[in-house]
Amino acid sequence: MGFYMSKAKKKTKNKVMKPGKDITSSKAKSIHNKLIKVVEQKISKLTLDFSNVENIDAVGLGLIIAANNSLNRNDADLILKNVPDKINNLFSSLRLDQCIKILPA
Amino acid sequence: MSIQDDETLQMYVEESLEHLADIENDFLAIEEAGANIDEDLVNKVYRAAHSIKGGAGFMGLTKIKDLTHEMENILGKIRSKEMIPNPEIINILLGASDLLQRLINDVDSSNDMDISQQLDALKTISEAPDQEPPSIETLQKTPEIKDDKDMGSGESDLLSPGIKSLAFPDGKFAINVSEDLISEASGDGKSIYIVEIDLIHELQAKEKNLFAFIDDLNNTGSILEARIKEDAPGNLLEDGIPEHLAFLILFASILKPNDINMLFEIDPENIYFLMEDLTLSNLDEAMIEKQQEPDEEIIETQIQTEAIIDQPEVIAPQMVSVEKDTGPTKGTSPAAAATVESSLRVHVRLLDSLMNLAGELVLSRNQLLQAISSDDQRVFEVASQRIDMITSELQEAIMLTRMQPIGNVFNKFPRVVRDLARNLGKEIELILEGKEVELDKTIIEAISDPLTHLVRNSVDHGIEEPRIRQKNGKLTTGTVLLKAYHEAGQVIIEISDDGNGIDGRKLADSAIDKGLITKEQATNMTENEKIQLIFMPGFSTAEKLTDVSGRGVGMDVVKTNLDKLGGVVDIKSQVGEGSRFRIKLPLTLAIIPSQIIAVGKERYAIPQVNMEELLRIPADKIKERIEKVGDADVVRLRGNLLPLIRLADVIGIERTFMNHKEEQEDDRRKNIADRRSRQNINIQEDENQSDQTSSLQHLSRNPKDRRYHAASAINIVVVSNGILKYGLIVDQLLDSEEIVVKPLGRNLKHCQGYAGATIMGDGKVALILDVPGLARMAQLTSIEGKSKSTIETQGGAKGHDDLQSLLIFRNSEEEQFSVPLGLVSRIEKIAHNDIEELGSKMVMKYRGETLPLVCINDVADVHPLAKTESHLVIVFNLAGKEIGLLATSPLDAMTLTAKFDDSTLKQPGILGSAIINDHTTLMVDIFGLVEIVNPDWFADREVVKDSGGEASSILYAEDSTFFRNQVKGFMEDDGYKVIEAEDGLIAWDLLEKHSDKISLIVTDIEMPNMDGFDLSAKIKKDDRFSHLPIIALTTLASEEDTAKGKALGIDDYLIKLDREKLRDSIYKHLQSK
Repeated sequence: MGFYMSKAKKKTKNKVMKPGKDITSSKAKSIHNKLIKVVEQKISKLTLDFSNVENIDAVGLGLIIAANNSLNRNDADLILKNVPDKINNLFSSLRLDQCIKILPA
Repeated sequence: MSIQDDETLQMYVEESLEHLADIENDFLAIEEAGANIDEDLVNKVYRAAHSIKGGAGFMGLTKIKDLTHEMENILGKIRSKEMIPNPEIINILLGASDLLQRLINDVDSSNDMDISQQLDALKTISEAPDQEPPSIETLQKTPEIKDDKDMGSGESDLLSPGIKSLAFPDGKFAINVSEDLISEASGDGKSIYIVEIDLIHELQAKEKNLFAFIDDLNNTGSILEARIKEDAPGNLLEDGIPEHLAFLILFASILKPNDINMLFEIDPENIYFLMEDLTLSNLDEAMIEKQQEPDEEIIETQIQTEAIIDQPEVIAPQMVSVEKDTGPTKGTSPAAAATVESSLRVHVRLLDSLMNLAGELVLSRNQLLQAISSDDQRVFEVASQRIDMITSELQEAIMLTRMQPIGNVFNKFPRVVRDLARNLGKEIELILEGKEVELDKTIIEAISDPLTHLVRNSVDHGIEEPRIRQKNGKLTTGTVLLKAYHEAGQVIIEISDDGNGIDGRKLADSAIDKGLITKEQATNMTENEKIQLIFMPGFSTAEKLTDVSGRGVGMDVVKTNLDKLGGVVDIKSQVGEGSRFRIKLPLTLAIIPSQIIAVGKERYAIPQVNMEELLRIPADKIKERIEKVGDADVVRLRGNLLPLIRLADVIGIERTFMNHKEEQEDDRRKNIADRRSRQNINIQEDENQSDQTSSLQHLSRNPKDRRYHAASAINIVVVSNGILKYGLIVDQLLDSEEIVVKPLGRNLKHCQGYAGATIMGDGKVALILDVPGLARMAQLTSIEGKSKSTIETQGGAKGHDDLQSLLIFRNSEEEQFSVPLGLVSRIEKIAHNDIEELGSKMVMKYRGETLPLVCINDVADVHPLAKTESHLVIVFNLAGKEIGLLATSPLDAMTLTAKFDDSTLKQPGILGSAIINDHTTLMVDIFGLVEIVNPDWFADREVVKDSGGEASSILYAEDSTFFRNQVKGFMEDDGYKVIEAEDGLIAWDLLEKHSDKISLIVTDIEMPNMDGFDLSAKIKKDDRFSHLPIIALTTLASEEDTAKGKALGIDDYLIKLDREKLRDSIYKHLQSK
């Protein structure tokens, strides 16, 4: 029992990432690589700080959702914070705020 | 806001857009001129900005006014040379003109848009020209439209009870939604849809902006609920960078089912309509229902005269909808610059001439009515002639109103190329040619997207970076050429670049990796076919993804869009030298020139754009020209084999033919080429025995046989869609006519093979054939059949080159093999499962018998047969028995001169090797092979002795050492003595020298100094030797040659390396001597 407890404890690791201006197909590869690196670590929460983000496209959106899927599978959460209005509107229009926790700017 | 009445505003918008249309290129020209400014040009732009500003002030469009005012300030400074227009300044001006265009396009909400960033940027440079201008990035932010609609209202309601789960027509779960929301939306008179849209594949690939898309949705309705479909886009680790992002969106909109897809522009099957009983139906059904309601849509055009004739309808129904006023759809992004205009400017002169024609038409009608009432034949004829004439003129005039120069589309490319080249750090010169070429408005609008895509591709993937270009010895500046011109009643648009070209091999590899094609298919493909792979859905070879060329899902969209327009695209590319895309377009979609053909009792139209040529094969040539490869009919056309499709079979109607009395009769021929020659074993696939046996007898044909009547000639229309070319066999070729295209009714929409319908002169309906569709129905692919090119060698090819007709094939990837074509009976394609293994032997069932199969690796030390799903079986007839050699593609037949080496690679089953097409090719010894596998097949034959009781001597003339050694070996194996000669002359000398010994002569035909024909003639003319039998061996057994040989007295004519026949023949001739 103690073994499981300690394992669970180890998982309470938080990680914050601050993506650049664009979360778009042109940056998809590097963002994907960075996300994978983080997801592979056993973390319990990943926070993406959107304060620099100005633009996101469908591929970028897909990456965020895929990251959320991967994290959820490991019982971890994805949180987006400082999300600009424009992007926040997009997320709520597509009801993505129902599966990803979003903190507006 | 004091917006004036609609009409004035509309006029203002149109005028302003016209001003803006040229502004972009003018800015670019100003940039190019730099400090050395062209005052006239700057003045022109200045005036444009000024008039937009003036109108905006009058209309109360404050934002537009402010923006143009600032632009004007900068232009003023450029004009007075206070400021030098460097790329940064021009960038900001371009950004401002983009924004201006957006504001004007969405003039009603322009005053609500936030333009402060652009304004600030403009102010910064106009006030302090020395300062560093703000970066472009800050300008690219899309201004936000303040949205007063409640778009998120769905969420809180969802928590309340009364949630309804909606299901698709197939019963699958679609989406959960609160019933209140639905009843509220439908209470507002909105229609409710569930839309399945893949944001990556269907939005991004079309270069639509995600934010603009969501804005569009919110402006025309509200999103009630949305969910990600299944688990797209998957998982970071396993699924990589997402390629799909499918959403289900429950959308309540003021748009009716007919118009809803203007918003989404996706496959209408992915839009479902929510019926009143809360079940979902397909959009098609919804449209039918809605149409029964009397809310007819009026097509708004400003040209009243268009009402004189029907609005021309186009092949693709969705194109029609483009013509309609798009109503509330707003905020299209400037990238999709092909703004669909609902009005059109026409020169008054043209309108006058239309009016005149209309007047004349009225007069002619009166005349016609008079003629009918008075029953006056003469007046009747005059009137009908006049109406005929007026109709053509009217048609021409109306067409002119719809014709627009392609320059309207071309003009946006300098900017596109400039911006892209800057982003990518490339140097590119764009050359535009043929801007004045005119095309129908509908086509101009629809061609814009595909062209943009192709130009972007050329810039992004085609032209290399300057560094690389320099390294490859090219100019650092790449060239993209965009060219339009008329050709044969069609318009050709070419996009070519001098970049690095398209590497077919890479495409094929990538396609295999993506699972789009199999390895086997790839090996079968020619270079050109591999390049065409680029049009397959889901294809991308870009090693690094850029936002320029999207995610490589675009080329198939280009192809689909062009197909819809009746256009044909083909690619030529040379690695390292560049590529050329060539698009062939009809001038208009409403009236197209077509070839009318008949099958059975029906007439059909084939668009001339798809037609390459007409072929009529006379009855007595059918046997020669039409062949069967596998189970497919092919026609020999200028050295190529062209696959044939019998139209009647594909569309399932009775064939007929015209008999000599010009009457229609049912055609009962099963095969196109009912060949009955005994030489041809490859007759038909009929299982019935009697047919086979009768086919072996040489039947003398009844002279009345209908195939010898001219009327039973075969008519073939050679058609192509750029990629796939095939022959369509039709019963009759009729006139070529200009036809008016009518779309097919909704019920017939799913019929493949038809592109539309038209009404013929006699009032009957003729269907328009869809060339790619028919090929699909006949399961014709561009891979099969085309790889079999033959080089026809004429009977007169009498050079001394050692020409060989060889069948080239493979056993595995690594090794290439050949056999003499003359030995091959036929080639079949079989599935791997058809092979039965009995002990160590392999057989297959074939025409009711068992066909033994061998592999080269059974005997020879070569790579084993590749494990593929299907194999080729090359059937040989040896010693009166058939045997199949298993092989894999690609298959090729060629006639060539090759140097054979019969020592290096010789081994059991392999005669030797030659270099063919840069590959070492092993020549298979099919007799040796079979003899080892089935030793009992070739019974020993006793040697015929000569008069002295010794084994007979044979004189053998052959110039090729390879063949000489081979054939000599065959004869010596049988126990004969062989005297060799290297050409005809030597043979003659040897014959004179050993005249007492030689009992038979075997000779090659093509030889230096004296050929086989001359040698034979000389022998037969000489009394001393005329009794000696002569057997000619050749690789070119054309009928003409055989006949010539027989006339000279050659006793037998055999294919080289057919050992068994040679043995038989020698035995027979020596015996009878």
